[in-house]
Amino acid sequence: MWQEAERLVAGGDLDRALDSYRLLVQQFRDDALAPDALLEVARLERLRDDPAAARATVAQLTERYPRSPAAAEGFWLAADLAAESATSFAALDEARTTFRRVPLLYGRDAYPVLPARVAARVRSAELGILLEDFAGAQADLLAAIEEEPATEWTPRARLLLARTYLPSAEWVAAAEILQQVVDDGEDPAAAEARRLLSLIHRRVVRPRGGSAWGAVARFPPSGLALREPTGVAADRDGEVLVLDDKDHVVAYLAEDGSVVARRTLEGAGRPGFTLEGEPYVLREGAAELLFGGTRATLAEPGRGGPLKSPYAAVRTAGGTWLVAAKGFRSVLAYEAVSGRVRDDLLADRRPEPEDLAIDDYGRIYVLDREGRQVLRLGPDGRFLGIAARGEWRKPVAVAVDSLGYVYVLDRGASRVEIFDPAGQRSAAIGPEVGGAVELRDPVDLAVDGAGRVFVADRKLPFLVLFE
Amino acid sequence: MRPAVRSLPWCAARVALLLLAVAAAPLAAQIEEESLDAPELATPTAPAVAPAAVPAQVMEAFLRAEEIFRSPDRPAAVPLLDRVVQQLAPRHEVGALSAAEVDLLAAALSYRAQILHQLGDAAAAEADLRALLAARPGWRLEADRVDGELFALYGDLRRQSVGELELELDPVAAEVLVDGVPVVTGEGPLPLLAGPRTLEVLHPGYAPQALMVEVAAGQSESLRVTLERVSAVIRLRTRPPGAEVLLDGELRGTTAADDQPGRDAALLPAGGADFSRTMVIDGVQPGLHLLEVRKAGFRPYRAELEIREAIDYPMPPIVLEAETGQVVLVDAPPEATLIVDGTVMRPENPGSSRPRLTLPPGEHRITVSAGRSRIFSTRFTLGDRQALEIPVRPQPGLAFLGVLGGDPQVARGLQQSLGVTLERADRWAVLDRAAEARAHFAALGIDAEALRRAASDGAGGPSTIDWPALQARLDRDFPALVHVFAVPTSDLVATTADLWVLPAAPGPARADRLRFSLGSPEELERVRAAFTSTLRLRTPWLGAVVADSAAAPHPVVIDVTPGGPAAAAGVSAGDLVVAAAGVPILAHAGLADRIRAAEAGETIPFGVQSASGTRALELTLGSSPSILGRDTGGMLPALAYTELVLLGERPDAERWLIELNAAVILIANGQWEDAVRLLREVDAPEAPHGVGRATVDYWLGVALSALGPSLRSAAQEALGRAAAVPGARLEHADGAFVAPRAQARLRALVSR
Repeated sequence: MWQEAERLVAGGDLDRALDSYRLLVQQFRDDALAPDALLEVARLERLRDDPAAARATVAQLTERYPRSPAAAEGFWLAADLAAESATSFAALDEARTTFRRVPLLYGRDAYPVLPARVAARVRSAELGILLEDFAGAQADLLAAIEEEPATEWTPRARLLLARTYLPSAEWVAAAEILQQVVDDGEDPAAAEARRLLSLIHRRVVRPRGGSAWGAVARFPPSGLALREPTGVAADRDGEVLVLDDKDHVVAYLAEDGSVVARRTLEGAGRPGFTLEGEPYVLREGAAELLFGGTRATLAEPGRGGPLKSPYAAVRTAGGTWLVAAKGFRSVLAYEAVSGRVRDDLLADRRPEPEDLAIDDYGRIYVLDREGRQVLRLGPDGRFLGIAARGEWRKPVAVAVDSLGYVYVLDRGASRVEIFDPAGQRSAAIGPEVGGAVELRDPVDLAVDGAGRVFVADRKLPFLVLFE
Repeated sequence: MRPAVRSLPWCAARVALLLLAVAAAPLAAQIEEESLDAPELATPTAPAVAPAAVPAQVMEAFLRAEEIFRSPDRPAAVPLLDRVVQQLAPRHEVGALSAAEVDLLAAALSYRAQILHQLGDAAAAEADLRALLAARPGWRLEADRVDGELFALYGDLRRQSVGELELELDPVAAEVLVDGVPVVTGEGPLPLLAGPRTLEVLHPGYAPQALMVEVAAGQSESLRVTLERVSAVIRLRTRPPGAEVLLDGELRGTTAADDQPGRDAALLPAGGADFSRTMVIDGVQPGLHLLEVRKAGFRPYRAELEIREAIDYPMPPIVLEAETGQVVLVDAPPEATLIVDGTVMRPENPGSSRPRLTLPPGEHRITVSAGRSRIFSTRFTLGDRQALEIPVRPQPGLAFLGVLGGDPQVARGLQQSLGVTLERADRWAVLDRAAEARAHFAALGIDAEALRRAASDGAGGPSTIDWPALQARLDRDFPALVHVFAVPTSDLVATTADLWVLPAAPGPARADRLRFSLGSPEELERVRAAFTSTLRLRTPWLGAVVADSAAAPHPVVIDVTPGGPAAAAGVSAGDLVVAAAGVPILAHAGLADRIRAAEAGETIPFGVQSASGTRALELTLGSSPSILGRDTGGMLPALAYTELVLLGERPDAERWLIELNAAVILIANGQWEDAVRLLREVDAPEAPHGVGRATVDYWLGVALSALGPSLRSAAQEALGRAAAVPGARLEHADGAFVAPRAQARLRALVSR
């Protein structure tokens, strides 16, 4: 019966596979395979987008077979479901607590080898990073790396450990671990590690050698002529979203500049990528997820109705949309589900938010046009400090990379300035950038995961790419 | 116990011994040293008929009948007695019964007659008494046990049908047969059934004599029979029994085990133990004869006998000398234990570096053991009187515990091929313990199925095997550095098997396993290779963190260790490594391969590129301690641990490095306390930029943290020391940094 169910899963017939596993559990309740079958039921229910059923099945599993390895896996699954559906930091924290129960309930003494325990430590660390608990995350990760047998989760654990070194600028220690992840294999963790190493090379090592910038290039190299680029966004994987205001076209480009998709969209505002890599553009009253995504409604605070002029937005790890809009001297925080304003961030500081950015750790960066500064906020909106400050004439865009370097575009000076995580200016370029290119009216910038900087200039028919 | 049988007359006959005069000893050089003066006791001349001569079924029926006969329900014995009589009587009529059977028949008839008489069947009772007298004329009923009337009847019948013969024999020990049936003589007149009887008189060395006699009922006659001496007789005993005896090349029989040992022990060498019964060689004519006694495993005994006259020649006891050879173990450790074919032996010259053993010829396996890592084991074939020198080359001991589970044919084949494969690994003294190991596994409830479940622990099962108990038991009973056994993955159709490897304590108390396909020479080669790998605890040191970057076509130097080899060669952070050891370098992996392939201290050409151009450098690689940790370089951790033990025995061993490595393996296995004990002893050098004291402190802190809150402050101290050395590394001087990890663990400890 088990083999039959496995065959059905392999053949994609999830419904019948689910029936088979359920039957197995009913008929052979005391069989050694029963806990595993129940776990498979929960997994399939999750796959069929029925998290409530999956949660109920996990509850059954952990109650009926509490000492089975499948129950440990069940705890993991429950925590993962909770993390997936979390719409607040409190919910993320709760999911993390569930992950952390796995090593406590299923210790090494009784379960010398338990992949679910390693996975739980790693996922707990991931949430710990989002919740800014780097110490807790590191403890989880070191336990997963040094105290557990190697599993498929080990490269990811190493990668995350290296990432926890980045906010404190421990570049060498991070690079050493990242290279180890690269050497370990070609899994997603290795690709991510390679990307971070490139970033460390570009932002940290190269400037120390006196050469902050490599080549300047046009992007995309060919195939897409822009008439008036006014917005640009880039994700960690190097994918780029560009808004051509003249044609009302939003183009989705691959890392090499080839066009993946394009869409004509009247009234489209600034583009962006969520932390999960979903592309979106701002429109009146909404942040619209593109290419098959949904839209998040943004209501006018107080009065109701669509928010009139949103010109910058980011989505936090907890699912909250943070929005800068014309006429508001604060950052508006919208509830993930209802679309209502939940909070007014920085209301006491009364900044003039011009642009927003979010880093890999969920920290928010607010470009304060009037204050000529970039404010750094924790993932929960708490003010952390000044990330950058300059004598900018007309700062219009801010970006942040995976190392915590902050990029500010000064439209008035046609210049990009880069600040290290400690807030020190580490480099600047423009208006002449080499490669026979001169910034003339730059309006937006973006940085991808490998540290490539893209600038959208209304008067240039391409994006300027700083390698 | 057969009490009824003991009361039978033939039992008494068996102890009637006859003393013979000692005859002159044969002239034989080999036996002159033996005790010729010892008087020889002869075996009884009357053939001693063993109870076994009676068919078992008949004897059983008789014994049962006798038991019933003695109970109140006597008549119930009749059917059984009928069976005994029916079985024996027809054969008695044709003279085919042994003396014991005749006695049994007589006893059965006696019992039946008494019962029938009791039942009132006088005619049948009388018929049985007559038949009894025909079978055994000398049979007597006991007056106090038999009904008076029946006793009187028997007396009457006996007087009517039995006479007596007063026999005078020369020699007196001669054997007498009446109508072909042996009878006991020497106990008074010989009762005979009235009528003509054939009398045969026999004795070794004498011509047999046969005569017809007739004794009238109730009468007594006298007869003198003198046999004529016609030949000599040789009597001999051997130790051990079972030796073939040949006279002049003709096999005359095999000496038999003595069923009454100790009877004449004082007369035999070494208390007489293990000697055969006396064997008689009859019909030997005067003259020179060649006596040969032989038995497998013993040197043959030969003697030339000069037989001068026709008398009895009792030979001195013949002790066969076992065939032996001698083995000298050259360069054996003086304290070594010697095990030959599974049995511990003491050398003939204890304490010598050339211990000597005397062994029987044939194939042997000898194991010389001086600790678990100094074991020598070899097979050899020894000939009789051969002196063999075997050089002893101690090796680490590997106890092969055989194959558990699997189809019997597959298991046999696997056991054999693995045995050969492990021996081919060369560096191990392979001790085959397969036969004895099963009981140990069984005692701990460990079978193939349990091990298969343990093999799937990778899927997260709770530990199903009590590894520490197994380790302790194996260490006690099969001392070796490592214990190895295999389990086919199925009992029906297995295509793969797991080779489990459990090191001796204090090594990891959990076996590692290597899965391999069955029936493939390449796979066996993989197994062999797993047992032949060697660890490198010092590897080349570059002194730089180098990483791949999408922003450059070559790996980039992220950082250079101050005072390290790269710094000394002029490498700077930000340089791109374009070539090493004459090979273009496009990625970090390529550079790592070149460095791994080099030797510490080797100078390799190095090409680097920076903003100012490309430079060619000469880089002399340093040497860094290596901590295997979780990554044991492809070796099973259990084997890596044993390698460390072996490395530790070398005079040039870096003890701290070996101990640190061993501790990290124990930590990986969750043996925190063992790790702490070991780490506290490690005397590591300070190393501001590499593996050293801070590395030890870090692992000590990790292990102490795991042991609970009571050791938290000790853990904090250790981690604090580790965190204070920013250049300290975890596994290698080019590897992960200790300080950030130590700081993270410190923070976690504080926040708990």
